[in-house]
Formats: sequence, structure tokens, C-alpha cells
Amino acid sequence: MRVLKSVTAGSLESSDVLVTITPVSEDHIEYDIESIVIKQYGKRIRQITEEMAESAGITGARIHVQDRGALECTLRARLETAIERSIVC
Amino acid sequence: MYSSCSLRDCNRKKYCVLSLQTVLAARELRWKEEELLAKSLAQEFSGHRLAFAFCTLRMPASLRIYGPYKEIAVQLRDALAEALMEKAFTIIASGQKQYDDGPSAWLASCCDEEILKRMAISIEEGHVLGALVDIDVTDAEARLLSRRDMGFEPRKCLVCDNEAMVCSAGQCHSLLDIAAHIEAIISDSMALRSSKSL
Repeated sequence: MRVLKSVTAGSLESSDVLVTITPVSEDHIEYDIESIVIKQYGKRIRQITEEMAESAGITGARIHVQDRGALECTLRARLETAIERSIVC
Repeated sequence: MYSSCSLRDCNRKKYCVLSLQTVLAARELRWKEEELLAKSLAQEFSGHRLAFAFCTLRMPASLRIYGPYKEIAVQLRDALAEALMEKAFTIIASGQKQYDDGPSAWLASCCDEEILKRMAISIEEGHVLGALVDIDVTDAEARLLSRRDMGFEPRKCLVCDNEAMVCSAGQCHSLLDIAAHIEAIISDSMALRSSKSL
């Protein structure tokens, strides 16, 4: 399923995460992860992001995650919303 | 009483429990409204260098909507406004709003955003209630300034001496533990106020 438009979900408030998905011309997915707790949770954030993008079956996208110390449930909810928004016309 | 609670529940529990959906929707709404506000005021006052400060409570959402804490965001926004006026910076607008996950108070000033951020950090660290608020500062295009980018240390946790973000992301402390520390900070502030009025 190709990403159709640029979207965001979330915010840059403390304890939240801003997920931005933009379409790219290639079929693959590019990941760009930023976090203020990258040392402690960076690997987990990347793992969750990759898992959710793969299970949604999206292609042709750049996923930019700007984490401000969000809980895992918050990250998952923001990714789910951003993915849904990116594939709706 | 929060809109989704029954009166009976509210009488029984001291703190409301908010759904994740409610908290996330409120945060996104606030973020978008702050961006719109900054951009529209920047347009209205084009030719002026504007910076914005947005003050929210720094505690779990179920505590943020607890009645007695609601005034703290406004109180600290006013402390920042006073500090700005003492340095002869003009405040062009200010406001406050109650969101589903807690109160927010803001101001817009004719001021360099880095100066405003430094003053906000002084309030967060120097005011007796400063530990209880987050003051986000943006420029006229709603770009957020971070402590880290400006060379400041990250904020400490309300409960222990670790970085707040690490404790918050790892949910290291219980709600009751956090609430007890907040009550202690508020008691200290009240004691300070009564000692000044003597």
C-alpha cells in the first residue's frame, strides 16, 4: 500500500512524539528516528516503528519520528494514526 | 468533574483517570492551536520580532485536571509576564484555555526567542512552583526551542535526581509518589507565601 500524502500525528510536547510520514518515489521505507532518550530507548523506538510500518504494509515512505520521551503506548498510537492518515485520499 | 466521569466516581476518587485517547487528542489539538496562534499573531504583528511561551502543568494527566492545580499554569505564566515587563519587553497578547488533559496559559512578547527561553528556564528553575510547569517557547514560525540546543542541562525528575524524560518514558514512579512530591512543593510555596506576608 503506497503512502499517498504527507501527514503528521502527535506533537513536540514533553512525553509525546511527532510522527511525520512523507511519500518518496522509491518503494522502500526510510526511517529517521530522533529522541531525547535515544541512548536508553532508541533501539526500541526504531523496532516499534519498523514493526508497525511493516505490519501495515505501507511502501514508498519516509517516516520521521521526533520523540520527546513518549511512553510506548503513545508511540504506537501516534504511528497508527499517522499511517492511517497517510493512506487515506 | 471531567466530562466522561460520573459524579459518584468523582466523589469517590481524588484523581480522575483519563483515557490515552483523550490525552493524545488534547495534546494534538493544543499543538495545532498553538501553531495557528503563533502564525496568525506573527502575521498581524509583522515587522516585530515575536516569541511565544506556552505554559502547561508538568505532571501526569490525571493530576493535571485536578481542580486545585489548575491555577498554577496561569500563575507561572503571570510570573514570566512580570519578569518580561521588568526588562521592558512588551507583551502583545496572552490567554489561557482548559483542555481535556489540563490547563494551558500562554503569552506573546516582542522579544528574541532565545531571551524568552532563558527567562522561561529561570522561572522553571527559580520559582517555588517552577518544577510543576513546562514552559515551551517558540519563535514566530512556531519552531520550538530546546534546552539542549541552547546548552542547558535537561530537567530533573520531580521525585528523584534522574533526568525527568528518562523517568517519565520508563514510568519509574507511581502516581501517588508523584502526587506526594507535588503536594510537598505546593506546601513549601504556601509556607513561603505566609512567611512573606508576616
